[in-house]
Amino acid sequence: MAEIKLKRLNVVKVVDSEDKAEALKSKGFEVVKDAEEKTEKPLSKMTEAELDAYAAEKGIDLTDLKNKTEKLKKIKEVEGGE
Amino acid sequence: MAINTLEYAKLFQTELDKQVTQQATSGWMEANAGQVKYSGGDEIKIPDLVVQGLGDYDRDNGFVQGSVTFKYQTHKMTQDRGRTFQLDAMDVDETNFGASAANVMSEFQRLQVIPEIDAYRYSFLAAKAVAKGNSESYAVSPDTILAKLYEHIFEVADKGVDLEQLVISIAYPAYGALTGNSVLQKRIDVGDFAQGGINLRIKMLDGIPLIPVTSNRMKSAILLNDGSTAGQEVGGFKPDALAKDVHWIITPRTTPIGISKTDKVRIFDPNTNQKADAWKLDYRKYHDIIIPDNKVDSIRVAVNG
Repeated sequence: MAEIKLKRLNVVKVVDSEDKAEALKSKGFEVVKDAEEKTEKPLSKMTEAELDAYAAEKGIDLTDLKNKTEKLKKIKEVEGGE
Repeated sequence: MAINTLEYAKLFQTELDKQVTQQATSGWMEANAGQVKYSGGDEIKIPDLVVQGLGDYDRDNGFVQGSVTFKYQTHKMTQDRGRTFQLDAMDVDETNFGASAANVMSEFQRLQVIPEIDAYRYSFLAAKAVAKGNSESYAVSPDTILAKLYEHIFEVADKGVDLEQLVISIAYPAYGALTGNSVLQKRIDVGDFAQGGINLRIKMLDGIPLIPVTSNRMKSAILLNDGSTAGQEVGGFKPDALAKDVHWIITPRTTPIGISKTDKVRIFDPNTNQKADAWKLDYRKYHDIIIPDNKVDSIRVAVNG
């Protein structure tokens, strides 16, 4: 399970499950989308959804690619290998 | 034995609260909590007094009736933190009572709890000021720091705050730049600052107290470890990776209401502890800081770029 980072004004919490994230959201925390931290995660360890998000952010076209392996291969080709 | 342990726990609770007020650099904020009602748990009640303004005096009918509204606002403390420790009965003997319950609790508060409370309060003040647009990016320099500080001081004063009421919480790098400069030293004297029933001798800038704070407590955001998730077992806090350094926070003494309550200190002696031949120490702390909405504008903050 990927880590989820949440923030409420000045307090940041990192949790390892959706349930914990939901509990914090009910207390006013909001998920932090930290692009900087996401790119630190190796591509090979990203989920398919994370690869989609990464490719969208980098402007890489993944249309017609059906699975994680193909998407990973395409991203690596475009970026010249990880 | 069990009765004595209970009595010790009660004493601990009072002494531990006192330690926070006296040793936290933000301890002075607790003076504003004098009117706050606390009767256990995570709720406090803050008095709110509202009076109507002046009306025209009428020579025939006399005074215009005014209203006074006094009510308590209930506030839930957001910081509910705790930890439990176990001290083997033999360890207590073998360390010649060095690892006693009193020592462990006192050191735990000094090294872990107080820094976290400070960091939480300062980051809260900074985040509130940033959100309100009352912060400015500034690179610390001995040549410009005095002018920048005065600029911020007078901005706050211009909002109707008495200069004598101000407190400057300042990170050590900025404090060093301010007090280490031989020219600026002439503007700085030493005065008394009351906090938690004791008088501290601290440096002042034209009578405004300068409270030096370590830089890791002066951040715009902190990450609070939960103590159980992988990677967070160490507990406590650390500055958030994306947090800004806060150089100083200027605020009237009456603006922040700092609250810290040791809700539970439980001490189980080895004969009571069912799990091990060991002392078991449970510690639970509620704390928070409250800034009334109408006072947020009286905070001025300098952060790094």
